[in-house]
Amino acid sequence: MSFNSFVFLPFILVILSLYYIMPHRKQNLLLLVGGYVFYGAWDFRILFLIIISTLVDYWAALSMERITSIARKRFYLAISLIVNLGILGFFKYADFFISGASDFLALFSLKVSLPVLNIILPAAISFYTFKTLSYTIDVYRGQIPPTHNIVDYALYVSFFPQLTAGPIERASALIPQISTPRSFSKDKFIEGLWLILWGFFKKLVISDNLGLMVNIVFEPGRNVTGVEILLGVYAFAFQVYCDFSGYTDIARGIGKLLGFETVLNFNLPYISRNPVEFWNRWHISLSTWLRDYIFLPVVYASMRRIKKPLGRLKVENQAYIVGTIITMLLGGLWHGAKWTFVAWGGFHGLLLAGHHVMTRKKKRKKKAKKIKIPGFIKIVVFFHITCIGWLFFRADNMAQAWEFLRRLFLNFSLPANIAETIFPLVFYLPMLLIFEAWLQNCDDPRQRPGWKVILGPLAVSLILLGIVLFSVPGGQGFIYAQF
Amino acid sequence: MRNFKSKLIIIQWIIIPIALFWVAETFVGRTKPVREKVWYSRADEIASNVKLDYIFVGSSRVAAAINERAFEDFMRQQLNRRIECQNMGQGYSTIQQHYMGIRNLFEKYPDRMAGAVFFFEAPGEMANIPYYTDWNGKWINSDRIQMLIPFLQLKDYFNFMLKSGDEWGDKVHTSFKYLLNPFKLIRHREKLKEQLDIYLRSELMDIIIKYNRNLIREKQGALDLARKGGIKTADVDIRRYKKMAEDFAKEMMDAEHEFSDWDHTILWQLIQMIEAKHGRVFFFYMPVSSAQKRVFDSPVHKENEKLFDKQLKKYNLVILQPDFSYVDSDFPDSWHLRSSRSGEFTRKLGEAYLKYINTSTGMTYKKQ
Repeated sequence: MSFNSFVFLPFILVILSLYYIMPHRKQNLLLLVGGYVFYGAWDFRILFLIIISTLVDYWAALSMERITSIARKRFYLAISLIVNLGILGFFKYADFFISGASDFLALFSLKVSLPVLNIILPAAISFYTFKTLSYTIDVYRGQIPPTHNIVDYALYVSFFPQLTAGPIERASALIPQISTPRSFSKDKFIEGLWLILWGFFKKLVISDNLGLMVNIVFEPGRNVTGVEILLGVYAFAFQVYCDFSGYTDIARGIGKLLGFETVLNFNLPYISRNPVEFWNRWHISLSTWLRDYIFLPVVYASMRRIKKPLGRLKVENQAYIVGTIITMLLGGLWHGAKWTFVAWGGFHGLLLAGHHVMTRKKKRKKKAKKIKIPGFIKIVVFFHITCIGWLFFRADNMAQAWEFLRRLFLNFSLPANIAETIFPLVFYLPMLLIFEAWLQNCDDPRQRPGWKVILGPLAVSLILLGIVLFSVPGGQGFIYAQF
Repeated sequence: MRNFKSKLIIIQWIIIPIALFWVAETFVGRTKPVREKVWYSRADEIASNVKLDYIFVGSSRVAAAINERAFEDFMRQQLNRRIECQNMGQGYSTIQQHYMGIRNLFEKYPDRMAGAVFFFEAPGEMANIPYYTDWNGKWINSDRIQMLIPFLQLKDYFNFMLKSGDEWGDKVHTSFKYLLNPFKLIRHREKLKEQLDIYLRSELMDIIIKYNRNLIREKQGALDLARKGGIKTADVDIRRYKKMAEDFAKEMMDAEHEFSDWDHTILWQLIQMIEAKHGRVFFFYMPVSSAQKRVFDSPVHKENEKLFDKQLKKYNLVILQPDFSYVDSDFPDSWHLRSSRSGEFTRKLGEAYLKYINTSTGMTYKKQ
């Protein structure tokens, strides 16, 4: 089930109407059953995967609590990692690696036709796998105690607002909210309704309309000019932002209706001036997950292995670069079993590593002559750099990505149907920018100037009217729900 | 004073949204796409004034191939009287929708609909309407949910919810549309969005051309295709349609199965209803592009054709075969007959119809 499907409305109405008349433990049970109905609505067969993952990690965490031996703890952690990554690897990456192996062997003139399994990708598998992994790793590290209530833990894994596309909430933040009674709060409820409304506007009006144009530009085999590609990539940058941040807003909004506080996942990422700032603002729950569970362990491991500086590059800088590249490549692969995602991750890895080296150099040359670049220019330049990454992210395959990059620089002519291409950007994007500038990513719009008098009801009415008039008939699924 | 202020703050939350929606609703009601009657609402408008003589039923291929004016002119010349003809061909329509549309017309205007002649696109299973479906099949195309709403009577709505094979998401969506149907803003929102997009794009193009004289505006509708019945004429859509024709043909060939139980189909219920109201039904063969013809030539389809012929004979029905030759280039999007040939095809169909009537009744309808 998707937030933008019509079945979701009766679903959430039923959940809400029962939720606040129930005692705490029954509320949890209701949300758990709701989560399974929500997830099983795609295909009830995939439910068994989430249940296996839940049971294994619940058992592994409890087993780790009972023992003191690090080696035994490591054994239970290994079981959790093998089961979760095994499920993820098989269902998401098996075909990718099989076809990759065939291609690799073909390089050596070995024609081996390995059977492609055509496995159906279970929705949201990457999201809940990362959630469950963080739980067992945190228990292993002794950062959180394991939960003894199976319903609480199962609800943590399958909490339906976050199930499809995150945010990847940590157990330390969500489980305490699950285990303690929640009461109705009018303020939270209003904030929730606002986030849901704003999220739907971003998804249904901005993202879906930009998506129509993006699909045309990226249609395989279509002869497009550099101008169209540039506009298409701009559109995709905002499509993916509105799609994903819209989803997150709805998820956070529903969480608030149910009395939960969910981590902030986006913080106006396109005003970033460098890659580090971008990853502090974009998909924050993933970037912090990658930092804590991949980047830092890899950096520490690298520092132990790297013995001496490489030219002027100190040991810790080398470790940082290795950690960043590996983390971002894996982060790219997490998005999907395609080389374009790996390239996107690698591109951001290089940006982060390059930025790290540059800032170190700058610090050394602190006293040298300084050229001050205005912040606005930095934002514009970095947005365009991000767009190169988005080109890889959206491209159907690497061949299309390279071809588009070539045309972007060598065939920069105005197409005859320019109005067709530029129209969604000219018409829909200003709506987003005006509201974003006013709201400034505030959960509670009542704090914004003018809300109390006229602007509040006017904004809500315009957003509702916008959804009625401009949402794309039929709509499109959430991009990140595929991951 | 403080109390008054807080009341005002609350009241604005009622007044501003209502005022804004009222303005939008009034404005929308005055726009051309909303005032313009199409499909069965157009037929309803005509039947409220005059007798409807001939009705064509089918998909957007019928919308493209049948030229109402050409048919009316031809029949007027032949019969020496004015006739009223309506083309109900519509893309994304389903046989359930046609059934209810025709039923509603008969219920509302029994006298003006009595004796009407219905022409049905011969079942090639290529159109969006699988003729062999029953009430447990899909009533709507997920992308065009609003098309069902105008036909639904309360009993239909319950049948739709309980019987139809549509997805639950679509059923809930339909329920919303059904409940909110009195609001023009909701009822016509898809049409409004489409028209608004076209208008704004056109305005934007004017501005761009003003600053870049090298660009020439692409002539809208330059392609020789009818601009009705849900047929799209934009560049992008033509490419999509061509690909769709290929994909659809493959899909249909894979899905085709032998079918003989015509008595339990909606199509047959519709035929019986029309005949009970003293109407007549004819089927006719449509011109199709080679991409679509591949399906008709498949062995399963040939077998189905025989079974369908058997059914027609049982009920004294015929398929008219207009003497019309065509080539692949007559289908600019591999799907619909080009506009400039629709008049000729329609006249040939009229000829085939009169020829059948003349020979089967021994009467001559030729102008004396």
